[in-house]
Amino acid sequence: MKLLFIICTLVLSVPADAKINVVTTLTDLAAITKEIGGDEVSVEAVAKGTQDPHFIEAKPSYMVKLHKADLVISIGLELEVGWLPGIISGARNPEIKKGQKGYLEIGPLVDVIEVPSGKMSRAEGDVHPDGNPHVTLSPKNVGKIGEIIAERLGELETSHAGEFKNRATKLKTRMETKSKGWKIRIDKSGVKNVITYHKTLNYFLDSFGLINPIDLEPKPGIPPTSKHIMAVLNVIKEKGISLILIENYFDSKIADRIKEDFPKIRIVSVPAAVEGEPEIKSMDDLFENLVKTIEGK
Amino acid sequence: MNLFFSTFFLLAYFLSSSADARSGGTSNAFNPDLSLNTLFQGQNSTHGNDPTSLNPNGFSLNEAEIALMSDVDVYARLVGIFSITQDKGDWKISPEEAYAESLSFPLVTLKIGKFKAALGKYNQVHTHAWPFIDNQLINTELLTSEGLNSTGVSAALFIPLPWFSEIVVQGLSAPKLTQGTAPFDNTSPNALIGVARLRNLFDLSDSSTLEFAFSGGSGPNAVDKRTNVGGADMTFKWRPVEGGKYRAFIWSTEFLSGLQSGDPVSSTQVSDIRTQGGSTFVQYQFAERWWIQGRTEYEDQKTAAIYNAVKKKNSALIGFLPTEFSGFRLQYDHLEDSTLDKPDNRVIFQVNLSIGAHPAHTY
Repeated sequence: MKLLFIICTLVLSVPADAKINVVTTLTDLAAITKEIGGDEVSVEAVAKGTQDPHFIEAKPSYMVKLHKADLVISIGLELEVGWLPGIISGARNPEIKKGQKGYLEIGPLVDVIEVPSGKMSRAEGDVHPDGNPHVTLSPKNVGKIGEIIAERLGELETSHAGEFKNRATKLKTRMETKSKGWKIRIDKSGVKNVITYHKTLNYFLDSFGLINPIDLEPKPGIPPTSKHIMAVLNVIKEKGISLILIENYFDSKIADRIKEDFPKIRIVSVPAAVEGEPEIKSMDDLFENLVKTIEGK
Repeated sequence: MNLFFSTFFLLAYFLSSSADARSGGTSNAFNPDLSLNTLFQGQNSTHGNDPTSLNPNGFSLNEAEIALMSDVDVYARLVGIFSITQDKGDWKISPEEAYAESLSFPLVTLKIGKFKAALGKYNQVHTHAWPFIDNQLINTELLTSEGLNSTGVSAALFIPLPWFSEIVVQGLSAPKLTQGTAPFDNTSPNALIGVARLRNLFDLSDSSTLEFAFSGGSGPNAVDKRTNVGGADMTFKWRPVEGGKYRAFIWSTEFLSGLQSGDPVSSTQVSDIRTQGGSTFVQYQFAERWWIQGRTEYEDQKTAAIYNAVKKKNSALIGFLPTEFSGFRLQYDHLEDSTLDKPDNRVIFQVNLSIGAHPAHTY
């Protein structure tokens, strides 16, 4: 009997320093959560920084991660609609269902751009009815996301709520300060228009007054066609565009065709998420890398 | 004709309701997710003009499938999948699946209603998601062309191990006698089929997984003797974490074996039907929207005294999938069937289109 009591105590007892187990859908959210949660959380992301977040496979091994999670943080705005519902359902963890404290959707709580109006159709491509879901690519949104995550972590672990809030304030202040520096450097670079492959980087471009006049995709989710590339070439000529950024999970072969007509144009394959390249370990690194690319460094 | 009008108005109602919700009209946020999938196909085969052919040559609307799903409340989710198919010239709409499943239990998902049995890997897959245009030979023989699908209860238990492990246990009413040949058909209202499946999946790396599973089912058959079916399947998947939009590889193998007791050989004698077979296929994605695939299959059916039917089939397929909502596939099959006077060669083309709610993809 005594032995049984000891075994039960060992199995059922929770260590006093147990961390909040957080699983995020994206590496960007994981990086922000790590900064806010510090030593009080353990964080893991489902998607890799080198993967297109629209098309992650719903591997059952992700269900194992979510089964043990105290909190799941996602973007929402239908970014993960093809894979997250299946993983959550298969995880059989009632605490992380939508509406529970263990589930947090960031997108609807921050400023969202490119919200379509009027009747929508898939003839317009892979449109997101609630707006562009790549919300983490704005430094301003990163500050806000830090606050949202801090609040939820504080609800789950009240004894550390103050620390989470302080870290979120520091993150927000740092993003505001760095943004001023990044804006000065981008303005100094003389770059006004940037073409991207998909609408992934539009939050970043918007944040610094840059304009994306056309994407390499003719419509969201549709690979470039010859006809559309002709339109892109015309825009490059009309606006004197000198820089194309291709998110590094897309094939950059299309650059060869554009280089034929505009040999001097800079076409750069860039990481669009934390861990998109080994040296990109934080949101600061990600933004810094994009700013340097625009500067041509 | 009434069926089509009813279906049309049902679809029109839900789609217009969704549009209202998005344009800021009355709140329809609680309307279920609604989608429609259609499979058009055309084929030409050696035996497709035979009067007895089950797959005649020409064009056909193979199936239209309407799916509705939504949470009932905090405890359960309701799923309804209705298929519209042609049977001997007449169109019919039937519930392919209609079930409720639990949302709030830790470790286990309970399900009640009509659903596909967890017997083998591909029995649970809907027609539009089959890896090839047609069902596997052995599945068609043992579990029917549409798969073993009946009303009952199911419990899927998540086993907390370092890898993904799940055991599914199901009790299903035996399908009512329809064609008289399906191994689990039984007219008795109390006839129950028991099904179990153990599934394990390992991450070999960030890019690759290996899954293997064992399943079995047992129940009374048309002559009130037993039918037992067992099987095993293994699937390897590779999709690199860098460049994974453009390259992927799948290798899947499934084996099923069945023993159907009590086949009436004569008025005084019964025998057993032993059927076994398997399928192995590879799929390779060589560009963002293109796949090539190859499959080989074998099936062997024996009765004590009457015949020994052997089928061998090889298939090749090329698929073009412009988006998640459309797919075009061209398949060639070469079938050697010991019951046919000559091999069957078939070319089949399929157009797979979906509208409505974004599908949640299974792995």
